[in-house]
Amino acid sequence: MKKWLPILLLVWIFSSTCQLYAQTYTAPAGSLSEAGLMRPIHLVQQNVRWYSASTDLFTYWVDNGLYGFYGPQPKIFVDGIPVDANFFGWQDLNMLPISQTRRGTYSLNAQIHEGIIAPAGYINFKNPKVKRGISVHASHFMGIETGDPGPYKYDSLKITPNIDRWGPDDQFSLSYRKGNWYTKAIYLRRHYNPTDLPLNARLHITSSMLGTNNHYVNHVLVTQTRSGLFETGYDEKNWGMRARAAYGDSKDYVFLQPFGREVPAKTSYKQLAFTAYYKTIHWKFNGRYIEHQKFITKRFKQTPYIFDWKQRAPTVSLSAGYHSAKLKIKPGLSYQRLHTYAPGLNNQTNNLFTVSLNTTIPINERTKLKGQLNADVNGSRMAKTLRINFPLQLEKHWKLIPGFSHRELLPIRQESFSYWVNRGYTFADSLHIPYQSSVAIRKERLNVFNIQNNISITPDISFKLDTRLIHHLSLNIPFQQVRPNEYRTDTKPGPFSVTQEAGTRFGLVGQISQSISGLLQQSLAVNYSHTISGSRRYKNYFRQLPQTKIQYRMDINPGSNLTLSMNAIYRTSTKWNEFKAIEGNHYRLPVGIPIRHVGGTFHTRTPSYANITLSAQKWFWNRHVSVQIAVRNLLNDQIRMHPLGDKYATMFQLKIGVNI
Amino acid sequence: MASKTLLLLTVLFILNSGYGHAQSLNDHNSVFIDATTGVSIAGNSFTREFTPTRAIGLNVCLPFLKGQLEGGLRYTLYNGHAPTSVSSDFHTEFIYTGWSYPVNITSWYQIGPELRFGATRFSYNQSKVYRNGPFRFVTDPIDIEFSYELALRNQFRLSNHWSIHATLLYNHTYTRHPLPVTMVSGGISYAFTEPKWLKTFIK
Repeated sequence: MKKWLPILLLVWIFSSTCQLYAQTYTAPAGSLSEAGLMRPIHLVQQNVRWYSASTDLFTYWVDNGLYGFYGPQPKIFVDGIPVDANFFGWQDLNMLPISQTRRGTYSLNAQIHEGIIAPAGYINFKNPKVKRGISVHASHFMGIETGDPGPYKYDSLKITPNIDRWGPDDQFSLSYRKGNWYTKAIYLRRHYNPTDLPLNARLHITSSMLGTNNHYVNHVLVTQTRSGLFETGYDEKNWGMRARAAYGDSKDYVFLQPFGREVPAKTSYKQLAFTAYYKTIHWKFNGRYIEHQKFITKRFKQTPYIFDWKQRAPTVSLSAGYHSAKLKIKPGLSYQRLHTYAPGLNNQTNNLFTVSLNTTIPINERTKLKGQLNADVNGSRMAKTLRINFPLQLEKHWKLIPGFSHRELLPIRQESFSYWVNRGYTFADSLHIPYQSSVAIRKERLNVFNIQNNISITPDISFKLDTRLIHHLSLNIPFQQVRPNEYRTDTKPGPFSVTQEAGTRFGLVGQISQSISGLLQQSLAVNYSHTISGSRRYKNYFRQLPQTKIQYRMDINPGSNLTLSMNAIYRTSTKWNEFKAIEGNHYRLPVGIPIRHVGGTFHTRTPSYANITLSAQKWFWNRHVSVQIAVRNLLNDQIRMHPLGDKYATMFQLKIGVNI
Repeated sequence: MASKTLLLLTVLFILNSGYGHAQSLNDHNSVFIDATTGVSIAGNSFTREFTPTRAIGLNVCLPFLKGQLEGGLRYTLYNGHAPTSVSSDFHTEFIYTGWSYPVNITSWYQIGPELRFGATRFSYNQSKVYRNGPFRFVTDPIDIEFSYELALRNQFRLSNHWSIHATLLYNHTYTRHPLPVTMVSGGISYAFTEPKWLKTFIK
């Protein structure tokens, strides 16, 4: 506790200094430009608070700063209903049935949302509202990355292999509304061809190692996803109901962290959901039945290894919300029966109960007390969470929100591969991962102290300052000590362990935003984090997150139905200590591409980079047709987020949409 | 002789065809359709190895944001001199959109800077096959790459409907070794009043 006192003091001083400028503040400004939004990850990356990293630039680890990339991922919702496409922490947002990728809400600090445990926050992607009559939407997306050989392919001294191909992505949606009743259907498919040479070589070697040698370098290694959704609903003034079926699958190369490299895999999920609500003046009752199914299996028939892991999770949840001027209270109850089928797994069924209580108590005109309490029970194990926020309207233009939370997370909620290995899953043996006998997954526990300031400087300018102190009492950190192969040209999995670590981190996000009557919106944001104390492994683990991110965004609307945007992000370097054993090793391609010598050097550090995206969106024909154009990585900086990761050069992307 | 007479009659028809209209066509109310041809004028390492020989194109301009929105397609044929055993000839189609800002110098002459960007589609006559033992690497017969183009357009008005134009342009395609081409293009333009449905579409 003594160690935290100076930090708490520092946080308080930071907050207090803002009081000096708090005299003329008004409502904060905010904007979300749609021009650069073409895939779901773009919506996430618009916010400087989320961290993201990727090996293939198609599927990303996303983190809110609490658990790191190998912890639980943000819970994903589509139109308020959760979709579970998380496979041991590998969560491909491209598998979601999201039409048009324009709107979303998120929370970085939520522990529970709509009765669903969301320890790493949640992201709720919103499809467009269904209009009266019949509506049809179709869109096409494609991207070109610079670096192809062009006609120099005829010159053996100058030729380069073709580089990554983005898309085509196609989506189609059809909806109909009559009176209070609506129905809609969405279908999407996306393609990505990661032709990065080291990535290709690694996939080739992995395929060989796992039993098939049919996938040589330069063969088409397309990642393909498909997803669909059918929903129907009815809304009255006092009640409503929805029924939904969703599906998604992906032919992918799942980066399995305990393996230290990709495994060719086919992943899929299915969902059936029924939700209903009834409300009166003061009460709102919600009921929900959702059944998730997800599967992960081998991608190629020839491969002899067994991945076959599937999970079925029917969930029933109920909540009752009371709302009046004096009190808001919402108790909720959720029951999930989790059936997991995998080779070696003995006990296949788990019963999970979650009880939650949200309440807001106004203390006076300027002050409220917000509390959230929940307990998550799995057999004899229980995880408790308490969150308290104390919003204070200090001045007309200044709102201060101090808060505290204690969070616990059961091992079964951590989406950890090691958890299932602990329970007998044999796939680690199939991959010959040397698991240490001491691998144990325990309940994670942490405390978070935070102070948030929302300040309006002028009617057009707002300022936010969030400070956060995270104290991990027990955090599961998996560690794969990746080794060089016999020829020191590639990697192979080394010893794997999971340890419980403790430590303290400090985070600060400052953002100033300006909005000028819809013509121009701009913001400058800084996200800084620092590990104050902790074990060596704890400190090393959080070096995977950049210490500083700076973002500048500007949206200009020079004419009706035309938006020009700039999104510039600077990120400091990161370090992935798992790859320390191969630091400095030179790799070279196998003889699959006899074009020229292609090789490089492994580094545990990923470089800092500046990624500037310019984008434009023009609507035509009374907003029936939309054209989006984006230039990403304008400076052609080296954008690489993982030691084994693909990198992208300057890229041009185009998306055309039609709404009828 | 007959062909010269026919040409003369055509020019006279073109020059006279617009004078019956009450409304004067200009950049703010007209759609221009251009037929163009072009030649490469500045040599560089790319054009020495792959020489552009012929270029023909079609371009459409219509009023947009104080200037003109453009869209078009240009076909260019290249003779390849790359050191290779197969034919390295290829042709490209540059499909683009852009914006120009025409400035009237006199009533019959205007000049306008233009920025265009789009995709260049390469169609190669033959694929090159690289071999190394049992492995083969066959180059793709078709590629699509991003290009931008800066242009300066000079337009001379012949009649209410017809104009001729000469354009100096620089085209840059983003490949590993960039492909710069400097060209002069010329052609003829036909203007007509922007139809209402097109105005609706743009807005």
